Amino acid sequence: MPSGIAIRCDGVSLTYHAKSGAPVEALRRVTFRVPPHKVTAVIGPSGCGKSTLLLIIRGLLAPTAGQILFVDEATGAAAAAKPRMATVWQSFNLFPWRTVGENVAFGLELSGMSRSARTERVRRALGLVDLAGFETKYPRQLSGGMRQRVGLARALVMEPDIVLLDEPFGALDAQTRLILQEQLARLVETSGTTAILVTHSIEEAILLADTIIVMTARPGRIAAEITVDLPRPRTLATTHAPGYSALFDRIYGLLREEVVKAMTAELENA
Amino acid sequence: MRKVLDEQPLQTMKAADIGRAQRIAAKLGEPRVLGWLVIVLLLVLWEAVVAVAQLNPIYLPRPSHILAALVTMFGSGGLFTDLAATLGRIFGGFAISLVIGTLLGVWMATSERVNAIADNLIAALYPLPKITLIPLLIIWLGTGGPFMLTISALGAIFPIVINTVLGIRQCDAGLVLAARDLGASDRQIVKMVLLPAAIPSIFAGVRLGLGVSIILVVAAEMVVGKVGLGARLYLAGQILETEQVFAVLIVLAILGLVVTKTLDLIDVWLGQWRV
Repeated sequence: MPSGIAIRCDGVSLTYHAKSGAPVEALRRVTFRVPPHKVTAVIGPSGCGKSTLLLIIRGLLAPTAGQILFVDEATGAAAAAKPRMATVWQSFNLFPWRTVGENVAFGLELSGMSRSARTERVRRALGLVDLAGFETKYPRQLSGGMRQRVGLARALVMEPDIVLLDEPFGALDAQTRLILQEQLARLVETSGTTAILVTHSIEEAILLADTIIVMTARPGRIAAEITVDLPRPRTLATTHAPGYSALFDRIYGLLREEVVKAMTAELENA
Repeated sequence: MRKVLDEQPLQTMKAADIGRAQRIAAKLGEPRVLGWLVIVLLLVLWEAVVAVAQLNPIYLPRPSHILAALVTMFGSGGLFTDLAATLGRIFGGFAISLVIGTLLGVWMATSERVNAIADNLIAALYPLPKITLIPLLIIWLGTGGPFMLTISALGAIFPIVINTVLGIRQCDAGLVLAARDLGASDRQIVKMVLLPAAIPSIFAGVRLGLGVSIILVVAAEMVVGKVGLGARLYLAGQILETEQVFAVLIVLAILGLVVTKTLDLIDVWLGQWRV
């Protein structure tokens, strides 16, 4: 495996102005490192700024302070080229006027790839997410689980160095979620892609991640960084493995306090 | 035994007849067929009333005579030239406003400054009955082609601009983020995300705008035209050729019908993804 590019999140803060003009501090001095070829999960209460953090890492949002650095692991210096990144979104964000095939091909089309080359890449990407042959369907004709697999294929087809997963299964029902979590676990285990997974599900974080970063209620700070050393491949059976419960309880303990804080703040603001 | 056998074909025939009658009755009850049937019945009634009451054809000519006048006008009376002139003015002006209106709408929706400038202008001009601009436009442009195209474009451009802005503003911000994530430039986002997302809304503007264009072109032709359906209509009225007046009205009605049905078809085609 080639030595990859690590992401360093360096004292990232974000303050934005609400409609009323009042400043809202979303993130406060967030510092952590995402090692290459590993899955890093970011977990925290709703509104702690974890999705915002993902937008900042992707470069779609500028932080008020701090910076995102891409470090070449081989040299320890800043990476010569920005790594390729692709995002999978909670609300799928598929283009409803494009077919499944055209959705997956979108990024390739932008890069000017020929139609025949695109078709082949799209076919392979849809195969990876078990949607072979669905090219000509429109998103509205698919179930939620299938739509998110299209979203996953649309990101994977770009062959990114880093995949950003923004609560990818948050909008799906519990059963579909279980299946897709297992599928995604297989995908990251076999591909060795670097991934950042934002989630509010402890189970999902443990199932998929090598490291879990627990965030506090707003303003989002880092509460803890926890290493998951449960053996891979991980499946639903992992939830019965020794060590799982202790890990779950530890994260739950950290989160519970923050969720209560977030809820109290919501009540005060309402 | 033989008797029973003889009777059977007769019975089956009867059953078939009843079945056919029921099918015809069911067809007649279908809303679409019923709609046409009522028009035909009204025409028949009209013809009969005029014939029986012996009304003066200057007030109300018979449908059959109107049809005859229509055939003559198309055959040797040059109605094709008038129709072509009117269609050219409507769709020429409309095409101009579709291009300019969509571009202006995109510009307004993506630039706050342009929006601030254009918004007030539109708010002032949009409610103004465009027909009141005819005298001024004649002073500026005369009564030829440029005048006709301008009046037609003026009719369609406002609904198209307004609906383009609306459609783009309603575009899901998540789609723009997704496109940026996949590497889209600003220009590509306009072309591949904002415009496609706004198409249903733009199309609603096209529907409204085309209707106004038709009204304005025919009205302008009635005021100053030498050729065109409006000019023909006005002239026929002046010389009390009531059959010709009706004939032109029928052409205008059919024009409206064809435009509406074509827009419906385009709407269905555009909406394939809205399952």
